[in-house]
Amino acid sequence: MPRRSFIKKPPDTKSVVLLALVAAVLLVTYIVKPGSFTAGNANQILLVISYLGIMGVGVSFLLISGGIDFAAAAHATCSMLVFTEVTRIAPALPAIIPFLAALAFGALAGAVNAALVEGLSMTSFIATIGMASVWNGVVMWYTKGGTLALANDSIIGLTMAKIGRTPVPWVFVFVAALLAVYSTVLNRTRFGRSVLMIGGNAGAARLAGLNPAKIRTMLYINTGALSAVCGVVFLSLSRAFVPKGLTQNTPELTALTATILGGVSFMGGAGKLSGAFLGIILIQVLSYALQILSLPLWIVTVVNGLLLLIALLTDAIAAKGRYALKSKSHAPKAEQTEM
Amino acid sequence: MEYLEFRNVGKAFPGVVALDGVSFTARAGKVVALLGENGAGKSTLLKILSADIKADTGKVVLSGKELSFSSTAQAINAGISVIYQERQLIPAMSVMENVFIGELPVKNGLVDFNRLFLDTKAIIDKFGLPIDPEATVMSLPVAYQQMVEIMKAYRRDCLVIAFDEPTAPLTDTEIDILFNIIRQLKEAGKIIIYVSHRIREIFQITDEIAVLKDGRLVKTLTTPETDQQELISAMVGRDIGDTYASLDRNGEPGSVVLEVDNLCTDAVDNVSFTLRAGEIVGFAGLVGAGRTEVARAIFGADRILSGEIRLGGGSVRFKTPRDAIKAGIALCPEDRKEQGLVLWASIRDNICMPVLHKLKKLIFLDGAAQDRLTQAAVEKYSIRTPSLWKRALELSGGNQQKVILGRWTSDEVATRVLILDEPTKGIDIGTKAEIYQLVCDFAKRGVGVIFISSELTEVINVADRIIVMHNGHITGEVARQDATEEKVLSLAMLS
Amino acid sequence: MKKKLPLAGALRSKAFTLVVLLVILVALFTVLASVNNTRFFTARTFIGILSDLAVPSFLAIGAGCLIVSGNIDLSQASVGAMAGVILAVGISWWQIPWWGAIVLAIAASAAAGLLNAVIVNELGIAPFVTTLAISSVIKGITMLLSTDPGNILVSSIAFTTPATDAIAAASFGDIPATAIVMVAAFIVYGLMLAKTKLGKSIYLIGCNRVAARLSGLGEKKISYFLFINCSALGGVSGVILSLRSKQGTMLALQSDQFTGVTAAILGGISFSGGSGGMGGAFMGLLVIKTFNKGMMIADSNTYLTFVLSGVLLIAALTMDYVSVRRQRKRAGA
Repeated sequence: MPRRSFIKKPPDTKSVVLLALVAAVLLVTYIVKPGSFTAGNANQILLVISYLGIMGVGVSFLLISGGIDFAAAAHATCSMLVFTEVTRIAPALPAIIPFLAALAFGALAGAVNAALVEGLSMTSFIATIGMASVWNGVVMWYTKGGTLALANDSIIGLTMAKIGRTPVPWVFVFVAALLAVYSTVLNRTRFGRSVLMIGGNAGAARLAGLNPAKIRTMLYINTGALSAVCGVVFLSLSRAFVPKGLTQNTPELTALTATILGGVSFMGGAGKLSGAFLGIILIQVLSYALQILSLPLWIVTVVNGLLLLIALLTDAIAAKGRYALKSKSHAPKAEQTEM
Repeated sequence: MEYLEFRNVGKAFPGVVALDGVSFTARAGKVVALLGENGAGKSTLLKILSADIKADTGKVVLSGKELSFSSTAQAINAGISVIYQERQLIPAMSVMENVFIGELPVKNGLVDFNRLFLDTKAIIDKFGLPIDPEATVMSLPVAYQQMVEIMKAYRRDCLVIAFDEPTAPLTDTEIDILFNIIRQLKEAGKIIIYVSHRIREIFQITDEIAVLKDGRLVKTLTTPETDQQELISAMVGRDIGDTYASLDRNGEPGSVVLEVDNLCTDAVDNVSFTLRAGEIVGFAGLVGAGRTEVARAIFGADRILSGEIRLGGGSVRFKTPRDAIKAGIALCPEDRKEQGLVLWASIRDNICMPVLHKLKKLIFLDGAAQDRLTQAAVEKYSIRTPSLWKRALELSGGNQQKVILGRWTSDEVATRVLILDEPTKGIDIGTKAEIYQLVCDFAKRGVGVIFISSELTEVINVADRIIVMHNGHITGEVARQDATEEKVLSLAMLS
Repeated sequence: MKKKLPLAGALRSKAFTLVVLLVILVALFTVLASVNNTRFFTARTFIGILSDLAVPSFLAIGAGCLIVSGNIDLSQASVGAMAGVILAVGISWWQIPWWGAIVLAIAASAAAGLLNAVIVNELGIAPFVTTLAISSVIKGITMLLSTDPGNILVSSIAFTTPATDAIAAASFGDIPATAIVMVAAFIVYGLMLAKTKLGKSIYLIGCNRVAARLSGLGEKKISYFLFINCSALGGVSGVILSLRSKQGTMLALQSDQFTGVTAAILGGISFSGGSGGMGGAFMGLLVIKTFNKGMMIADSNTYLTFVLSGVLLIAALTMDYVSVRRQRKRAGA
């Protein structure tokens, strides 16, 4: 009886490269500023990685299926506002209630995106950019640009726990668990495999009885919901609602760059969540390092743009041949419609 | 016993009858060949079978039950699988997932990869192929990709499996593998339909042959009881002989206008030929023989690897079609709607497109000049339209083709070499005759014409000389006086 | 033979819709304003709207032409901000003459467009992500330019010269000179699109790039031109904004990031390329700005315009979807 071969696959070069890059950045930082390796800094990085990671999981899942969502940060911000407002209206409620409200909002906003893109067949990027503009506008309009205090501080401590006297960002554990769950879904379930299939060749998947529009709709909703979770985590870090606190750093672009750097294809149909997560770690370590080395902000911004371009370029090179099935020198196209 | 019956199936597209009352039956355990030239209706028949398009008349019956599906997915679920050359696979995913797409085995809510592996391996072993179930499809050679497609159909336990030109991209050994699989499928009692141009293969693998011509079923033959001669004569010999005889041709070609020397691209190998002014050179061959690629290379649309092109004696190599047009080369591309016309633009825009820079008054476009030029082309080619402003997509296929021809006819473009790629595809017989005369008119004006066509009768009757291609090479050249369909067909197929 | 341009036909109906919409808006705001005891229907309001239009109009012209050809540029507003900062920094820190600073600002903007064009055309990366990435790079460069010799990031750099002040203040009667330049630009670009070979080529490329290439329209050159043109016009609007406010800031044009794209699509330039024109884009812009102005007069919360800009973009896309579908249906394709 033949067994499934568990022969070692070729090493995942992309992950190795990303890890090496992370190590290199850390090393340079250590050499230039050895004093920066403190628990405080480590916690800070882990926290940022955590909330970006949550958003990244949603964004990369959607990207794998061939969709794109530029409204993730706006959804997160608006969810934060929902959370804040619910706690202000009813401060006595346990934190889970405003959290659920935020989650529901996120899912709803995701559904709106899905309706525009899958229902009205709008181009995904421009529709989601438009919705981002709407939600950010709603936030600015509602708050008039001002900061809102949290009435219920029970979530403030949620992200950090103390073991003995050392604070530990336990939210990172939660994110790691989330990553594990979503990775399992992507790699091991029928649904996850369908996501890869519709991203790889929607036509073939449809012929096999899968429903790309339905699957993508679910993923838009999922991205919205995860953005809401991301928002609540960010809120617990920032300890107050700041309208542009999250969006000013364009985390939706960072998440996109990171996931593509980590091997999720911009054209859909390929990628691993662990790779995407490594991408996020790399970007955050890098941007934190740039800060610690007190490089000016402009370099950080330029680097962000260049990283996105580099990610896209490597992806475009890798994708050659993935989408057009390789054919020998002159395999003809199928005979065209005879009329 | 299971059987698939086409009963009086008819299908018409605007301006052309693609299928006209076709009836035949394919039985389980038999391989039935569908044989015919391009345009004979084979593809239309397959599309009706796979529910890609609906028949106008008649029905398809599977073992007594009439088939009517609203989508191709439904047809597949009902056990009908048509394997096209455009493979319906997911390149970045493993062979096993492609084979079991849509029905991955599940255990405890998770995909059971072990079972998936074993089940796929079992199918692969049955076919005797050296494929790793876990390899990605894109890492496989083309032939094996096609095998994956077949395994998918086999796994679904499809009763009807139709192959559309399956061997076109395959090498001889790969063809042997494919034929072994087809024989196995046959023994397993499947109904197999095999579409091909290649006569040799048809004798190797099929049991019965249905010959189509111009949308009609000409003959059904039992393979062992027929021979190549009978098949070819059944396929060819259409009777519009008068049209060709009455063409007003150019008697004496002039000097050499285009010379191609050892042209190599990604798709063609060492192609050399010459074209005289006022001469029509036909390019015959099967779909995918490399004729289109030769045309595109000359026109500057595809990259040239090596070789030389001389236009009027001077060596040229065009980087873009724009350069080629400036030098007097014109191309009517094979895909009229995707590459030829801007469907949403007016007839006028489509005709004036290459010469806009010459239709200016100061800096603005000269509307009157555009009207004049368009009007001239419309009258000259009797393009039937109520207005110069009608959108190209509202015209019939024949008139669309005339619009593209009209683009290259004005004095402003000064065409020296005209390349026509399948100019009569999907066009009714009457308009075809008009187009032949238009082509001859170009030649009479001293334009060198390259006439690419997959319709044998047409190419050997319109062209002065016929160059035959196979697999990216030129396999022969025949003058019109000596050309017979049999001769050209054997150069194109039996290499 | 009946003369009827199909593209113009569609445009005419769309422009008509926009005119109707505009009339409704004006009526609505007049009523709303009178309820709030302010006035909307005044000459001042309309001159205000006209002068509000000047800056985003150049964005709309550039974006519109690019979208007609089936492309898009999301870096336009960042480029505009950069141009404004270059003007301010050039005059007050680098001490170059005002005209030199303007030329430099617009040349730098054009260079950004060239970069976009190279990446999209030569490397084959989707225009929207390319331009998003370049947008980030441009923002970084703008920050660098806004960093003063003492290494401090200055958020707004004031400048003043007699000439620039005069340009900013120039007007004919009550109508600012920039508004006249804007109208001229709309006319020039409108004529270019509707009447010249270049314009015709842009439409044909937008409808079918492959067929246009095989007919010798030189689609790559035109794509380069349109990207550079789009960024350069972004630079023009940044410069005008800077001249008017007598300062350069890296935060300029943020609220106008998608105004150009929205106006173009609202005005009937289809997002899928190949249709629409400058008249429509102008009307689209007019509707947007009237809407904004009206809301600001009717409601004191100025942040409402942020919501509206998004809502208008989605509305424009929905209208585009509806009209494309209707056309397809009518043509039976």
